[in-house]
Amino acid sequence: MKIAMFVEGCYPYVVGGVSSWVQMLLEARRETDFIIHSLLPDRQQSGQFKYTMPENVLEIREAYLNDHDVVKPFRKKTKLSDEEKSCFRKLIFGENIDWLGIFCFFEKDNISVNDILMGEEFFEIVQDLYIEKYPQCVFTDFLWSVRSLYLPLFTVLKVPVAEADCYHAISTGYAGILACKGHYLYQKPILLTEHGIYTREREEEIIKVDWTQGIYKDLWIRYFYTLSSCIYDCASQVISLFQQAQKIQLELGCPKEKVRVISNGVYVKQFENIQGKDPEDTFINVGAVLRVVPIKDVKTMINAFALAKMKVSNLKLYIMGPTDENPEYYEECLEFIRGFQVEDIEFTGRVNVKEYLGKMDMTILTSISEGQPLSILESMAASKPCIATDVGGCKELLYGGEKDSLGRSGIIVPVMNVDKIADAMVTLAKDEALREDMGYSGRLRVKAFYRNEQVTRTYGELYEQYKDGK
Amino acid sequence: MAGIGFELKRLFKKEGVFSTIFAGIYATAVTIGPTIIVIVALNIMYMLPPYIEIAYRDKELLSATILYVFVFALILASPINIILSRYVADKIYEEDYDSIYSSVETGSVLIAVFVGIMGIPFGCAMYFIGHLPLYYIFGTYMFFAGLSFTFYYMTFITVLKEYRKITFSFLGSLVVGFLFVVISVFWFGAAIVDAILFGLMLSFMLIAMILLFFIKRSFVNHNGNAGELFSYIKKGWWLILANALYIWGLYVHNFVFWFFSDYKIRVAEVFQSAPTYDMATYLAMISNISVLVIFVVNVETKFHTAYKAYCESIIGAAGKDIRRTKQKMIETLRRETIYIVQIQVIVNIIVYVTALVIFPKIGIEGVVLSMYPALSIGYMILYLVQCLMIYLFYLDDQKGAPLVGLAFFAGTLLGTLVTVKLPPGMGGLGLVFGASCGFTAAFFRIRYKLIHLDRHIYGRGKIVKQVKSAKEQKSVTIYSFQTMKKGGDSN
Repeated sequence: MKIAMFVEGCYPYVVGGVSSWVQMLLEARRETDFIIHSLLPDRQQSGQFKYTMPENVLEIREAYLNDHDVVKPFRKKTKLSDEEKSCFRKLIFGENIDWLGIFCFFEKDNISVNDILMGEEFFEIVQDLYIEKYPQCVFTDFLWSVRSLYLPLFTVLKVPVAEADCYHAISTGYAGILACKGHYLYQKPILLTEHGIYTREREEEIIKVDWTQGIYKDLWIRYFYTLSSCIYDCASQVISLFQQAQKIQLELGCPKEKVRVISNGVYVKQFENIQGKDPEDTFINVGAVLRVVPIKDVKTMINAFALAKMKVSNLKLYIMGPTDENPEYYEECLEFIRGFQVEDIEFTGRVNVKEYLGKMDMTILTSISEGQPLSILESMAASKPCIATDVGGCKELLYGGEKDSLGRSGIIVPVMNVDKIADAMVTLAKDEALREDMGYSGRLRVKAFYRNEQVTRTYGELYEQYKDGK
Repeated sequence: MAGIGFELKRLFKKEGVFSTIFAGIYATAVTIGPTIIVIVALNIMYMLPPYIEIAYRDKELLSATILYVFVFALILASPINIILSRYVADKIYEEDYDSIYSSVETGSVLIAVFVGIMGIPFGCAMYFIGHLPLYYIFGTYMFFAGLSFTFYYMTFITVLKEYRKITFSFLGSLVVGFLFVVISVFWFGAAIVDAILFGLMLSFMLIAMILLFFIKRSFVNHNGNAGELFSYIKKGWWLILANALYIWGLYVHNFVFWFFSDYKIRVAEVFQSAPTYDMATYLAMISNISVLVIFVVNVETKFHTAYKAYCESIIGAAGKDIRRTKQKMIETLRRETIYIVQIQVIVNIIVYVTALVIFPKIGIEGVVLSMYPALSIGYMILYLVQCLMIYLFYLDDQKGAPLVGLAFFAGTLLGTLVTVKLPPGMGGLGLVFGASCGFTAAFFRIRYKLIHLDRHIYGRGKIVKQVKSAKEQKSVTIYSFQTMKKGGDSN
């Protein structure tokens, strides 16, 4: 059985939650062969794998969103026939999109993205869209914005997809579209697992950015909605990690009969006999397992820690995870620490979490955006209480879902709220009994609902279910 | 004429009869003024008694020398001037005056090189085949160089904005030349042919130097970026080619007559010509040239304004405004084209009838008069081709403009090869055919460009770098672990 898996901007180039999850699944499904289609922003990271490939991975196929327009010499100019033009019109207008027509078009030999985007047919479609919906804008800006919008999509659509028994996308967006291409071309089923909600994450990003304004932000948002709708329509199952994410999927138009939740998991046994805290260690240790990148909002964490340390002087913060992904941000964090003149903060770099977690009294995660963080699950498996911001599935993990009466296994705080985060640290630092209660509750919850064995078994069943295109 | 439009617009903006007349004179002066001045000067020299008295062979030699110098200087300078004109116009628009002098230097070197390439072999032919004296060859060469440089420096006339001084320098130089002829003939007893040749050489060398002096004085600062003109030449190869083909087409019918007609003569073994046909051509050219003046005025004042408005709307206007300005530009182009065709036909009929009456009275009759009608129609169409080519230059038609040039050149060449042996009245039909080919090509090309203007304006360039790979497409990089696995299994 061969599964083609589609990932964007993570595995196997970036260490993190989604990448670890993929690696876990690949290692657990030894009897299944995998081809990984990985989308990168450009060729800079090409071949720089951060994980050791399990034997059941046959190929990694790298494609690039910002790539050159690769064509053969002595070719005919790419032009759209009337039928093809109609397909592109539907795509750009976002109405009754004929994805099969689009995918078949990009399967043709020697397609030039330049020719399409700069061609007369595409121009006419954009002009019609402009006249119909945006006649007040500066036309040239509009035209170039639409061209920029579809450039990465068309680049991705040119990528040849491997034939497989089942296609599994780990997000919507470009990875989802490429999986859909395989699904349409080879008539094989497609599964979607969303760790975060890609469309919402992009929407939040676009709202904040300043490189585009006004209606162009709407265009970008609508564009990502269009990409999501493609895979929501053709996927056999749409999986989310937690209930809240599922609700958003439904809001985004995913058919109700397709959705299901399969939570993240950890191997609980691996956290049973981990090394505990040194009895002579007088510090209250706070652990943060994360990549030092802006989305984790490490600066707020440092700020809150500085505030908490003023009340609990023996607090110590361990920031565990790679610092090389965004060196500038790491430098800013160090500058922040120097600015606050706060002591007892240690960046450990990439470590074996199991060696450190036992020594912690609590863990913390101050992310701006999350799916269902593996680090919280690991913390719970290690019986450590956790402070986490109210993003993604964190609340469900720490406070339990609808059918869960196991109690709280940590404290949920608002995003970027320094005072509340500091208060939570102080509360846990001062109350050892509370820490133990929450740790105990967390371990029980992980054992009950978030076991890797369960996750891999479920995916195995799913793969079997859709084996041979059934 | 770089930047002529700015000045014409300023002049035609002023109301009143005198302003309009002055603007008309100005337009005439900068478009065909130097030609007229030279024609007048030559005719005055030809009227000198010693010239009238010399042998016909000597007259033929001088006429042929002057003809060759003018024809080949124009063939040489014109393609370079067209690109320089665009460069200078761009620099004026950008107000980057420091770059202009650097281009003067680069262009001068180019002209000098081309003068050498064309002039030295011909000079050798004059010496070894024609057995002409070295001083005569030297005079011809320097006259050729002086005229080529004059044509080149005239591109800057409108940038200098010292029209009066330039006009006087032209006149003054020719007066100096004339005085030189008179003194050398009457005082020193020089041969009139040699005196006129050296007089012309002196005049044009002087004009070129005075123009260069004005240019140098106007552009004190120069940024030393001499190579920039080459990048323009690289980008504007199609302009050069189109212009070169047009200029070759302009003379190729003469060349055919020089070599294949019954009117051909050979002077001093090297100057091949057909004076009868050349004279008829010259008259046809002069009688139609007024249209060019009208066209330049109309293009630079009306069409340019509409074109500029359209370009500006593309940069920052809503779709409906772009459509409006585009429509206005197309309408202006259509109206002006029809207008120029009408004017050309009317002018041609008037001039033709007048010529038929006047020419016999001034001694032009016989074969020349028989050849004139067809050539006059040919020139009428030919100038229309030139007008339409200017539109194609505006529309940045990199394929169309050279194609039109080619249609004109090839049509004229082939047509004249057929008509050269026909009776004199039909001799010029080759030019009529070639010009009609050029006109048809230009007409349909402009029509095509206007229909597909959006594609041309918005579809130029590339949104992302294109990489041509002879191998299988590399939009994906595949890392295969299957082989390694198989290897591991076999062990």
